[in-house]
Amino acid sequence: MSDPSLDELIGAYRAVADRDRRDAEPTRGRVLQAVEARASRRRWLAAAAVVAAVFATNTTVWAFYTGRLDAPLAAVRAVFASRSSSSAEPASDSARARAGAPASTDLRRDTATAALAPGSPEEAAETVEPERSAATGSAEDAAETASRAPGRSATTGSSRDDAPMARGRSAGAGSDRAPSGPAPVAPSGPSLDGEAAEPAPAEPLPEPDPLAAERAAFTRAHAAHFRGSSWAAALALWDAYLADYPRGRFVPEARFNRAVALLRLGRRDAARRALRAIAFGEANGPHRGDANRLLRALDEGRVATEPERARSR
Amino acid sequence: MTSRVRDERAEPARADGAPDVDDLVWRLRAGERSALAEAYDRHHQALRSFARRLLGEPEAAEDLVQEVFVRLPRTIRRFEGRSSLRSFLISVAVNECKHHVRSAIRYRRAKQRWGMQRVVEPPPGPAERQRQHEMAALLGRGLDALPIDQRMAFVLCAIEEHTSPEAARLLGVPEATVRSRLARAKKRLRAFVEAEGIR
Repeated sequence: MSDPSLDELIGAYRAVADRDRRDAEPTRGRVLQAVEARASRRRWLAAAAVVAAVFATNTTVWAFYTGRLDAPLAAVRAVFASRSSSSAEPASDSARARAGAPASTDLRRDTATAALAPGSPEEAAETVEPERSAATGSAEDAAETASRAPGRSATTGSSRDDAPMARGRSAGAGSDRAPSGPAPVAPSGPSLDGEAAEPAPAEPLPEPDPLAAERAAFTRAHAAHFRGSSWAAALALWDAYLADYPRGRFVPEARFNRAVALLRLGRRDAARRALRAIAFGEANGPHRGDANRLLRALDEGRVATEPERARSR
Repeated sequence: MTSRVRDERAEPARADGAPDVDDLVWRLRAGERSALAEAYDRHHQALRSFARRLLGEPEAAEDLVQEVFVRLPRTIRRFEGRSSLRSFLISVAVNECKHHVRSAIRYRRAKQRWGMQRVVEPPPGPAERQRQHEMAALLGRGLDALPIDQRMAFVLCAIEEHTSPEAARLLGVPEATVRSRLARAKKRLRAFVEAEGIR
């Protein structure tokens, strides 16, 4: 009885609260209805998720087989390569040669590609690095253009004249390439003579950028096309690039520039075939409009080739 | 036999004597609609009574009951069988009730502002019944003035007559905390009643 008034209030509160007995059925109905609605919503979501997963899988598979995933995969590979190169200990050149590491392979490929350019192979080998560094800006621009393109297909878009081009490239370059094996290729001259089998000093080499070789090949062809004097050399370098990197990052630009080089050389039929492959090959190709315009100009006789220009002069 | 032993361990303090079998819990976990209906039929009275005493508003209490049962197919995953299903439902209600308490308080204050002085309409009857309603309304106003933790401790211990350990388990706080909250709630309510008086 220490607190009679509070006890009294509690009793009254309890009695009043319990007196109001509402019908529990409506609440029961609402509960079951809400749970059922939630379950059906979950079923719909699961069905939608399955459909979305199937769609995403199919799209990914399609993109993979049509080469549209190459650029993202290459970017991912580049990221992982740069991470592993920062963490892993650099291997010696002879170890690379034993393991068939890509550094030596890329260097050999650079040398072989450069051999197609005018000049001796030694000169070409020496000029690879300066060329690459000097023309990095233009390659970057081209890379930007290529990355802006929504899709790229190297296999579906390749025309009939790509095949002989690739064959010719491999036949021409095969003899120039160094034989595959453990012989390390040093960037300077002395290693090109017979002492190549000697184990190189354990000088750590930086991990190669997987895109560096491709970028260098493109840069060489780009320089020959826009700054060189010989369209034949430019054509050969474009052919080399397309043969070496049929799914490369700059394939659309290379194919279009190759068509232009063919046109400049007066090979109208080959140029027309190459332009048609670009214009009608791949939807949303970055040079589709240019190829169409050039084809129209060709049909209307508004394009003069270099031999025709020379004759008119 | 094993099941029986497990039932007894899981349901040590059944008030209604009916075994709250594991089967119901498993069916609830499996998402059976009939299990939810069965759980509602068994426990809605106890839960509604607690909600009404806690919130003081029949509509808010119905909302809370509905919310607890709608969420039951999910919350049952947290049920470990260490208490009865009824206690578990009440603890879920305790966790969910905060915004219901606030909305009930807002509703009552709005009704008072609009001139509807009597929060609970007294039914026609003798004077004693009317006085009972007035006392209940006074305590309701006093509960509204309490912090929510003290309110829950007071409702569970003083009105629902749970022991301190039970209330501590339901609230998920130490027993001493429940006792101190209860003492503070009683002190404040006494002061409130003295100040307000029965109108």
